[in-house]
Amino acid sequence: MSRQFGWLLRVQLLGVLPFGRQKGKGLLRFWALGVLYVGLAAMLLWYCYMLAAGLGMIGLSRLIPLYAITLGSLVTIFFTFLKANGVLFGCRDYELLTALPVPTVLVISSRFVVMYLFNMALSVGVMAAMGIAYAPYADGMATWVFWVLGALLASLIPTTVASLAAALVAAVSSRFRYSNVVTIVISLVLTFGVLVLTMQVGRMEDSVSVATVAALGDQMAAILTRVYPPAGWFGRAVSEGSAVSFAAFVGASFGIYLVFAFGLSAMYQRIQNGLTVHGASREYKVGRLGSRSALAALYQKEWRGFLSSPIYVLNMGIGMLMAVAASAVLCFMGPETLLGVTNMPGLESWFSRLVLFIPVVILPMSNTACVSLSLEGDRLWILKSLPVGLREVFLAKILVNLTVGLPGALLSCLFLWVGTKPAAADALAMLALSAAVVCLTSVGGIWVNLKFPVYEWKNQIQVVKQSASSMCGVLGGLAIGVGLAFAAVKWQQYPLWMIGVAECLAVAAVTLVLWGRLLRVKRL
Amino acid sequence: MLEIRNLTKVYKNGKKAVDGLSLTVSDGDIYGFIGHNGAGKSTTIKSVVGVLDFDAGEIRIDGHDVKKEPLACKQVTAYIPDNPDLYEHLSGIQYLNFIADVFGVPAREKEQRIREYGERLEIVGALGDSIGSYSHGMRQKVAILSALVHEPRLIVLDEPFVGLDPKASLTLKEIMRELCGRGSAIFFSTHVLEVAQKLCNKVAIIRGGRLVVDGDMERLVRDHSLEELFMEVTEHE
Repeated sequence: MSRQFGWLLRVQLLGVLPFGRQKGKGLLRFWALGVLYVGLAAMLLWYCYMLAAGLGMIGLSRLIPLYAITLGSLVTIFFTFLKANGVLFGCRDYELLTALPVPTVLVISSRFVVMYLFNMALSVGVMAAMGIAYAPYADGMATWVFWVLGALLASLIPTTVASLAAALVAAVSSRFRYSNVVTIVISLVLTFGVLVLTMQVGRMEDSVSVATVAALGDQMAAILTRVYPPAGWFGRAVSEGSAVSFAAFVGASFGIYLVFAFGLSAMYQRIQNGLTVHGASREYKVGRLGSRSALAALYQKEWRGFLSSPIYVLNMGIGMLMAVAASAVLCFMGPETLLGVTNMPGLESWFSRLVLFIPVVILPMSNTACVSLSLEGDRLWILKSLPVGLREVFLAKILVNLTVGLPGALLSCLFLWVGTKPAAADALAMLALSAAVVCLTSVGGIWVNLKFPVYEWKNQIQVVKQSASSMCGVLGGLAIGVGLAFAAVKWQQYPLWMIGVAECLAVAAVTLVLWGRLLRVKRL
Repeated sequence: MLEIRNLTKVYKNGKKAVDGLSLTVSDGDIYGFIGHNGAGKSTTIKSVVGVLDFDAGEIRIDGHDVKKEPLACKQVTAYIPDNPDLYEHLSGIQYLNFIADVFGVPAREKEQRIREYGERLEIVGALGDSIGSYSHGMRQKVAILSALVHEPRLIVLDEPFVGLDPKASLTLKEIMRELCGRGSAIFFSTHVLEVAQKLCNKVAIIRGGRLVVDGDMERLVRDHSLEELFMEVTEHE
């Protein structure tokens, strides 16, 4: 059985790991991207180290193990929640695998372990960084044994929880004819539910000062332990050298996973069938059919493809929803309340400017274009054999991103106008800038996808969550937004509308340059 | 209708998939293209329809060069690959509508062709369902229907009979003959030599990327079957 599992895992890993497929320019880009990933990881780890070092400095070193395991778990949940559904269900090799003489639990486990290994790398990094800061307070060899083993296991429970949530969503969705739509709606409700809860917790924590935090250390530990008991067990194991607590942590990690894996294997086939098998009705009659231009036909095909895929919508459309939600929260809470909650000294002077950049910063995280070419996958032959130029193909994909982004920009700006009441010129300039940024990320998304195409995939997750183009598209967009917001804060002496117009022109110029490059592309 | 001159395609590993291949498919021809697995049939076909770039040679469709005027070539060509991976998120009718609109087929003609060919291939009733729910044969039928909906002058098919039930195979052969009777040309690969012998008026045999035999079917199989000819030229050369 372990040999069968080894082969299944190997197949899954070969599909996910990018090594050995790049040559020439592709290899250069691959390594450049690797450097970018390492840089981002280094920033995250540095933040973790500083957080742990800060806790130590204010006398809360006993909280570091708790924070480390909790942070490692949160990072895992963040990277897994919207991915687990696509990894566990809706895979194109499902029929092939289920026909093999291997237990279903091994098929599920091989998929799960791929997610777990990726998450483990992250949680090990987080806990290593915080472990360095904890070193001066560590006592005895047992601490480090527990710490290292804990780092390896930290992501097991959160990966299981995220997978369980995905399985529940899939189980409910599989009962409906339009299971994709149901999956999207439930996942969005869950995502925003978690975000609202997180904000509530954040408000409680932000409203107390550093001195109060030091005094409330034990209470915080109690809260963390109550919300996530395994963190408490791990904390006790490390700080008190308690082998029993560590055994409880290890037992809970494996126990929860095993219950999940065997439980899911009992209903895996039913869920998969509900999601993918729909009997043909054979009742269709050819009626009146309209006709559209080639571009309209391509656009409609793209739009339907976007809406039909929960993975695509939830990962590449989430920025738009978050921008609108953040603007709505600001509108209803009022900027003064938000300013009071953040309690950051010196923020007042540029807060009113900064909030208007919410759509500019968050909207670019919605980028349907940056994976749209890769998602053609095995169907690329259709586009290649049709009598349409690449200009129309690119335009259709760009228009889908504009369809997602532009209404988001308008709604977000409207909420911000109501909430912050900016000058008319400032408001219009920011609306124009938001729209311009959406245009830039749409065109840039296609450009990025042409640089990092992945046409051979078995699961959309490989393109939407794991590909270089999705990473560059989303993070690149975010970086552009942050850069534009930073410039507005940096040059406060100039009116906002002036900064907005200047940035708008710069963004439009870059967009046109990229569009010009796209027009020179001869083949996919 | 289709002229291939000295077509050469070299893969990145240096292997010549197609080596100096030349052939001509005229209006009204049903041209069979046969060879072992890996002989270069699909590479040739993909080069013809613009799915694959090629390194040397020239391909002309209806007088247009596929490299210089790709859209003009594609406008008169229909292609059905060996494995019809279609858009699973679309229903059959949405896919056909999409293809017809891209080719600029007027609504009335589109309706009429989908109804006519769809009924003959017995797929109309399922066109409202998602392609994701289709069997391989049903996908193949929708792919064939999508090729017929814009009345192409050249139809290029890669193993078109794989996955089709006997009745649909027969219907497809009838449709192929009708289209050629109306002046269209058909160029298709197959491993079913009996079908090729009965259906085609011309045939080409490819081996290791090189054309080893081509010409009129009647002339080539005068003294023996196509199967015997195929075995002779592919095994003993």
